[in-house]
Amino acid sequence: MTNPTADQRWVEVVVRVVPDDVDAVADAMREAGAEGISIEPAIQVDDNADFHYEELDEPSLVRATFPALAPGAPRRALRRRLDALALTAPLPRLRISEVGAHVWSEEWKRFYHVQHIGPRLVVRPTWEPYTPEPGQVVVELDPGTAFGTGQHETTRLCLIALEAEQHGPLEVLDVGTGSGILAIASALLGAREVRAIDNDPDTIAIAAENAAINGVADQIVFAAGSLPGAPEKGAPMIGTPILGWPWPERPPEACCDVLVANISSTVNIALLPAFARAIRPGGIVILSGFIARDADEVSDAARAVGLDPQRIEGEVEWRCLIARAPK
Amino acid sequence: MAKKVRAVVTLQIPAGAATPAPPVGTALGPHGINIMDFVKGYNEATKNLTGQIIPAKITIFEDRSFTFVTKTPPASDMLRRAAGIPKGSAKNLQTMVGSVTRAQIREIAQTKLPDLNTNDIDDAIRSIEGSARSMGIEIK
Repeated sequence: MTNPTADQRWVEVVVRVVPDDVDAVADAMREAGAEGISIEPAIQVDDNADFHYEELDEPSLVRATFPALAPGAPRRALRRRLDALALTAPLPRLRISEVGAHVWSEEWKRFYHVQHIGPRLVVRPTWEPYTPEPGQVVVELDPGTAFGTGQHETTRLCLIALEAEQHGPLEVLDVGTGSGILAIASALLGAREVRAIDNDPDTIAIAAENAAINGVADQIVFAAGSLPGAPEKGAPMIGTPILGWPWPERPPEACCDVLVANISSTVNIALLPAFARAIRPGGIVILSGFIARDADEVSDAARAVGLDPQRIEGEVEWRCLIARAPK
Repeated sequence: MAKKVRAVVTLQIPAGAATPAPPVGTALGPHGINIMDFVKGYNEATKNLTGQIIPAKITIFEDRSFTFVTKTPPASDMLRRAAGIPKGSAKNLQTMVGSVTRAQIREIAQTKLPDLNTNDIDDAIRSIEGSARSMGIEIK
């Protein structure tokens, strides 16, 4: 593929193909000169506690990009080539369209704007100018390969809870930090020190970079790791090893005044005994990443380890539990 | 973090040569993910594999963050390279355009095994043989 230029044109052929035939159709498109193929299966997101998804046995969207595919003979030749395949289901009509020059690399930015979260917190994409009002705290963040862009309800619920509950120069532990957004907000809100861990070492580098962009690299320590009790099923990718606590010289017991974990009900419930040991007397535990259906279960699990659920906040289907450790 | 999936997209593109142009742009643009992040990550992950088609399976989450993993090349791409032909035959079975050995078929099947719906090497070999025949590649 070459770099796009202003006058460049492509022809895209889009067709819905049953899963068993996808490889054969993609191969035939490539044989016919396609530079690239994209395949988007129909999926169903499991409503279980960890939100796994399944690919459905329904047609996938296959999109083939040709540098040029003139009307007439070349298109008929493509159709003949596809018709010659031994497929399990007949192919529907091809949708053929010309795609003109477009700055694709900027396309995603239209989905992402300054977000006002809570009375003080603002999340700003780096390309959008914003002049903060007095007292406002601005987190600069662009979406990338780590979860936590401020666009998700659970991230917003945790940010609002941090803003409401974190007063003074406290020590904060962020479990499952992703992009680092919660740790960064916590630092900007005045935490003395934030420690942030994630089971996925790749996200740690991204989170550290985001902290540097926000000028709070000195206040946050990031490390790949977890707390004792993390279930294998809740690892960011199935099959990734479960990491241990990354700071042996500073054990996790009574290590923080505020603990925030935006993970899932399964992982939160499994880790709650460790959370209860990590939080200092009178400290606040903020948990999200679960839906309304599982909120009672998470609350009960918090109560079972001696935490005192204060309230459950919600946005759409998502919930956030704010619990306090006894003094 | 609470990662709920929005969409899954597999791109079959040349290793080390992704750009924001179609199909990357047209496939990922509507999902609102940072395309340059993907392009940089993909090209870095596949820089030593240039000349091959290396699929990337991209999982896009509800908050428009994403992850991707690279897969083994499509069987047709591996067969074409093994047979040393630039393109397969349009008229399968009637026009043989090249040939591969049984050992090459086994090697391709072995490489593809992690991405196939089977753990049985014989099933995988049969599947690769079928692809070869449909491409007009003779098995010697």
